[in-house]
Amino acid sequence: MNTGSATPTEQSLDTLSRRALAGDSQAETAFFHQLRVRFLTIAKRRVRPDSLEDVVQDALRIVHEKHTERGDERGILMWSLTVLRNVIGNYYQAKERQQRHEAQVENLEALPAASSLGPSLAWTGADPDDFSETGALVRKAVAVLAEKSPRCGFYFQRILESLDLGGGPREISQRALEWVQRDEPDLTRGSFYTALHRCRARLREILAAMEASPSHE
Amino acid sequence: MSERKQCLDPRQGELLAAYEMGLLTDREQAEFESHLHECADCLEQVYEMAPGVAAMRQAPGELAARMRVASAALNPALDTSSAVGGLFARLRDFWESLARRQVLIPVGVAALLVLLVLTQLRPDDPGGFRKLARIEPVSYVVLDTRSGTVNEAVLRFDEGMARYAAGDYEAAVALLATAVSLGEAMDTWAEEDQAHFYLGLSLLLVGRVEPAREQLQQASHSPLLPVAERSRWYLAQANLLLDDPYGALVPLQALADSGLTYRDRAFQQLEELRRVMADRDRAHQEIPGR
Repeated sequence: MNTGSATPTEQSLDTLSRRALAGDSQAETAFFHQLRVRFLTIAKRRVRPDSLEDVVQDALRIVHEKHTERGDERGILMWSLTVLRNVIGNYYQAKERQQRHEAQVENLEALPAASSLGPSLAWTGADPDDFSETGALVRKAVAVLAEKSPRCGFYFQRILESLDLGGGPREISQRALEWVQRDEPDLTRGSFYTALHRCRARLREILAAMEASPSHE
Repeated sequence: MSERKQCLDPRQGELLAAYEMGLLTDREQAEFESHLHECADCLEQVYEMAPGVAAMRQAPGELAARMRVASAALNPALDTSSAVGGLFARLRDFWESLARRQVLIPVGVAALLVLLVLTQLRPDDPGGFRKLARIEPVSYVVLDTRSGTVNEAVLRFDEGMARYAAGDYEAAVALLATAVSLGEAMDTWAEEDQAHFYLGLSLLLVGRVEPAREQLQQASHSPLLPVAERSRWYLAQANLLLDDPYGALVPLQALADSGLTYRDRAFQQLEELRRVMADRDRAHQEIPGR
């Protein structure tokens, strides 16, 4: 029997999100259920068990409150994970403040930096929609990628240009591939994705190096 | 806290980057997200990059323009829109066709030598000045209200600045160029200097450095101090990209002497520039027989 409730194999989170926003309560339930499972998977490796549910619920609450304001219909999971990241960042900061306070009381040496306690905090901000700090980091990182790995820069540039023109995912993907194929006519879609995956690793390395360097700004 | 198990499915792993950039069809996307339900490794990877990817997808046009500037400045050979890029592509095709026909190796070696000579003839950054250039968009807020006379030039300027503010610099160039052209037919219009400046900056951001320099040069004489100051700064950056250090020295020195917002940056860049110039002179002196 088809109950109308969506399973992960049937619909993407973006589709569920769109349906939820249109008033489909079953899609909304399925969306938050799936998001919760993923949030728990991530958060359980980062926060203490007694704080786990609080952190996840806090992130889900923010997603629930804010996702109606999002303009971009695609990429809900990426945006939601950014929210979770910020919530976890706030958790570490609160924990650090508490430890610092305790350390002052006990007159101990300085505590380890928050970054050594968990994920990097350079990516986090108070507001889930405030990408200004991350945006500055990414702006520098893509320019470095274009300099250090011109081929990767070329792939990413074509994708970003195609994204900028808009359209559906098939259109964006096809357009980017066609632009790349002008230079590399033998490149198949599969090879393109493979190359892109390697380039993503390069970009991640660059971002990690910038995060580690206090002078990235 | 348990150890993370590495994803064993290479297909899913390779869909990851395409997924993040929004390239997958709805069906592929649903398939990959179903995988994320089961695979903590891939989910971790998406989590790690999520803020960066979200930021990238917020302003793709602006980032693409930055990449274009960076790659055009440092790797002109890879700018495939250029004639030289086309030449390299044709040489590569020629080499591949030779390989397919199994022509003798000496012919291939000769073709390789031609490539090497061509590469030597056009070094990426001969003076080392291009890498000093710093190109960043100046923020601009589009206001809904306007007082005074509204004419075609002003309308095109407003439209151009709306595109600029949205990070669509190609469209901004077209509209601002129209505004400048329409404005030339008028005695005076309030936005003239600003139009030259933002047209110059937009051209710079899409990698058209030579025409950008002309616009910035014109705007640098503006009686409006902020416009003149910004224009001098970007004029210096354009000259660096064009491998013209002396062209960069003049506006930088003016900013270092009397600039407000750009004074510190100009000081710093002047130091870097003089150091690179000194290094270059030293290198020239060390070449035997010079």
